[in-house]
Amino acid sequence: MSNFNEQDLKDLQRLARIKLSPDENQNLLESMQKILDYVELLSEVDTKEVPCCDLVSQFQTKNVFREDEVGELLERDQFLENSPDQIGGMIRVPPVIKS
Amino acid sequence: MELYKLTATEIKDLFLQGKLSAEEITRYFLNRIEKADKKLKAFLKVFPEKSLKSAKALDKKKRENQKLGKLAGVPIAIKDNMHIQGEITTCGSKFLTNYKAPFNATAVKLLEQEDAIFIGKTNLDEFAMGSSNEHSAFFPSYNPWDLSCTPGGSSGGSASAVAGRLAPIATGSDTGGSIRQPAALCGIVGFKPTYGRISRYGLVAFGSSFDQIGPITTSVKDVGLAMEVMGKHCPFDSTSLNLPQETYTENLPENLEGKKIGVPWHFLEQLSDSAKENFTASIDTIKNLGAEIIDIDLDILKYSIAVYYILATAEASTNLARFDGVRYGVRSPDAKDLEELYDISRDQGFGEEVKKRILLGTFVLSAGYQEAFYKQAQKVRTLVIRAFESAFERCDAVCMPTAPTTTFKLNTFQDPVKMYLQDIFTISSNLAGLPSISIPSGFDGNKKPYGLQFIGPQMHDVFVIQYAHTFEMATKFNRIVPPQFDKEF
Repeated sequence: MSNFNEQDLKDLQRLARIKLSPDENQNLLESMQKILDYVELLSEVDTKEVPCCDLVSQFQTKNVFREDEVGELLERDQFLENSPDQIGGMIRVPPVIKS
Repeated sequence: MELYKLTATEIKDLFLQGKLSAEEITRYFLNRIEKADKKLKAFLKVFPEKSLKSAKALDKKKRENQKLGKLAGVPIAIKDNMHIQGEITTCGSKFLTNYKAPFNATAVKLLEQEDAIFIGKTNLDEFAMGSSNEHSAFFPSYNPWDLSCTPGGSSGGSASAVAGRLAPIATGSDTGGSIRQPAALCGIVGFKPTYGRISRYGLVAFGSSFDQIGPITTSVKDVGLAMEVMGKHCPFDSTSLNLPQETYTENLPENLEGKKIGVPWHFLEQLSDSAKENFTASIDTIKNLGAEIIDIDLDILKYSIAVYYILATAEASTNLARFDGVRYGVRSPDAKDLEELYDISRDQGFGEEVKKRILLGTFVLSAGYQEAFYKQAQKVRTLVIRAFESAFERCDAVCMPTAPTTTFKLNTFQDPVKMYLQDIFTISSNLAGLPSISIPSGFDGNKKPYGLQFIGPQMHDVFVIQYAHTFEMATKFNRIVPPQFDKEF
């Protein structure tokens, strides 16, 4: 994966919603290149006839459903206790629509 | 009485026999933490008041002849990525410095129901991502065998605390070896159960198809005791196995007669001389216990690190998307609009290793790369599962070292891939959802401990624990306390 470059890292920051500082950029670029070079090892494995693993447990092979009934609830005050900013029982965020 | 030398089971028995009160036991370990944790830095938070309050309530319960739980009188340390209601869960991250857990993790609730006493919360690599505790946002923890070295990771705080005998037992979580590798590096016991055996509800998610909670202890029997408490079905985790609870601590065998133990000799060829010497000696012990050793082919495991660092980062990037600075956690004051709020809060709140893994996970899932990376890794994961399945047709359990080395100095690995290779022997159990235990297996020339793993088929947790118990009885390495902590404080 020798062609992982600065533009790729920039695109990823947008997708992952993380804005890196310039010196972080350099460090991460180098170590991500190293990791991607390493994981390319997998391309040598012949997997033509092999299905993707979409289930780890051999003992839980069905979806788990339940009735849509109200169970234990988290009180609003208790939930809001952790919110960084709140107003009138709601979470406050900066403007969403730019003027 | 040298209480620190005792296992959790022995401490519980002393309490039940009325030889020690829960308060005395709790004060004893609080004192050890106060005196010795300056060196180990195993704890992020200690609960002196809360633990003494629980201890006194338990003593009252005993005086009144009420029924006592399976962990009555045993202080336990909880890895700080599991929720204790009303306490902070930092996950080793700046992002959650102020996050007060609004509910109990199921494992925590079960421990509490069985009268365990929560003594504190232990340090970890941020969001459990790391093999050395260097990635804790607060400070690294240290290894009781050598205070300049790492206890391993990510459950390094829990392993350090138990090895230094600051707590008789602790919880850990294991995504790629995070219980077993630190247990090995600290000369104690660590168990990762079958995927789904312990509920993940209330454990901060990292890689959901890999994560398992498990105990870190000074004896295999204590592992069994903890499993009897935590290994129960839970409706809040849809991957929690709805199977009858098992008994782990009764009828423990004395030998391995009639058992076949598989060893992937070819895969292990790269072991260093010292590690190989230790492992071969362990295999001799297993033979002497009556087991037949069988050579098995697990060469596919050489790909396990690559598979893991694609799949676990993909899952992590998805799981950690919830940390957006809106509903909880840190919000950057520098953000002027909602998009900046995400971008800057996540940059400021996460450490470098976490950001790297989120970005990697995002990359392997992104259009154009998903087929080559993510899907190929999922296919090789299938091959790993199949390789174990055919191995288990020929043997009852597989034996491997836990880690390629003994403990190492902090900041030894600058190259991320070299650090990731620490997990080469542990990751495959997470890829295949297998129960896997690490037990102490002796020392290198510098008196640093090695660990040995027994890995079994899914749902063979009880057997894996039994095999490990026979090895422990034959060797008793678990009874050796690190010299600096082998005393009263």
